[in-house]
Amino acid sequence: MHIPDGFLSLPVIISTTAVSASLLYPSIKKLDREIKPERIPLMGLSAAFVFTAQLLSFPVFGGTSVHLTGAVLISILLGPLSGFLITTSAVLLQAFLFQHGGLVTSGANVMNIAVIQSILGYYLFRVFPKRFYISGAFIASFSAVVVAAAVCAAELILSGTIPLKAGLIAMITSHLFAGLGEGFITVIILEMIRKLKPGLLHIKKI
Amino acid sequence: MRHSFWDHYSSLNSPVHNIPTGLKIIFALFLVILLTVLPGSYISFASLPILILLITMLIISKVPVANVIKRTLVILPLVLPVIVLNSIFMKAGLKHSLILSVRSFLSIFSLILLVSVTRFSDIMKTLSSWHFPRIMIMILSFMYRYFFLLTGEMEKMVRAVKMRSGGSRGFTLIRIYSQILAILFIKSYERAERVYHAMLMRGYDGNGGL
Repeated sequence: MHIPDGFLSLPVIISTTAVSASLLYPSIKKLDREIKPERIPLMGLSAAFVFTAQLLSFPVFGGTSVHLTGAVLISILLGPLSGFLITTSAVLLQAFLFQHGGLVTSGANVMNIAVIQSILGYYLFRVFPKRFYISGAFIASFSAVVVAAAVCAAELILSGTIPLKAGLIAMITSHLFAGLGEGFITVIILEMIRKLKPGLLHIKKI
Repeated sequence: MRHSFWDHYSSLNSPVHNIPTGLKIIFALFLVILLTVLPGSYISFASLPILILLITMLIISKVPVANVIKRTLVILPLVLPVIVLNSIFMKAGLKHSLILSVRSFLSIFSLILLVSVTRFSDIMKTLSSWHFPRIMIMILSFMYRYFFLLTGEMEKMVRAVKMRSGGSRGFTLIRIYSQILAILFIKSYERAERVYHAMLMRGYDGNGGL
């Protein structure tokens, strides 16, 4: 899902960067106004957590592996704007340190991973009433991954990088699986946190 | 612990390392933008001079070339499926994918060069002086400092599980690994509290820089 440099055309880069930046700017302003100082280390450590969690590959059937994206999870725990900023930072650092993603494609990657997963995923989760906390988390993380994959495919198709039909099918089917994994992992983590330290489910959501 | 493994070479001393950080960032950005906007037919001409330029800088900087080449291979899992898809479903797919691969290979090369000759803290300082949002700089710096630590903790837990679980697989393994991540989040939260107290003790007032 991390698009490297060279895969996107200029119009796609400009429009996705515009979308990401126009959401990032007000979010940063709002967070700057509203958060208390102790929130900053928490966001930093949560970002490091997301980053680390993505390195753990879960061996699944047939020698393949999935890993957690953690965007929806962190939004559920800390709130959509915090989640958005944390995931954005993770995307940027990954592009920078590990070259997972690219420099000028960062805007597109932030849109696919941070905007769609952290923000839209979170509001999808909020649609479900409190009673369906767990199933809501599952459905939100699953759909976030699949929708993000579809948008990512659309960006690549618009750039003329991959063919329309085959590209869309390949991206979505391969991410159905990753989405299921994301859903299960998110749900188990939330259940475990509820059992061990239920207070963490009630951190102020911003 | 593998501290600074990824940008191990950034603290070497060479003429390239000593170029002002801002200039290096702008140069890398310029190269990547150039590689993005150049039409396909120009790429074949431009790629060789760019490659020679990058390798020359790499040699001057004393960063091992083999290490950088190895790190560029990270794009292979992304490039290969695209090449396969294109060759099957697109007319002139192979040529198209070759140009694509050259674009992304050279972009990644310039990015790795930038990371190998620039300290992370210098980049943060430069971005900060360019009025990059303070909160993002803070999050990025925290991430950079603590993810080595968290990775170490995670590896310890995974090793402990492997020793004790005796080859669980399938869904059990997914459950165990997810629980490791849950513990890791709880530990990160607790560490954040301790870090904040330590920062307060050293005079942090909520606006301090790095």
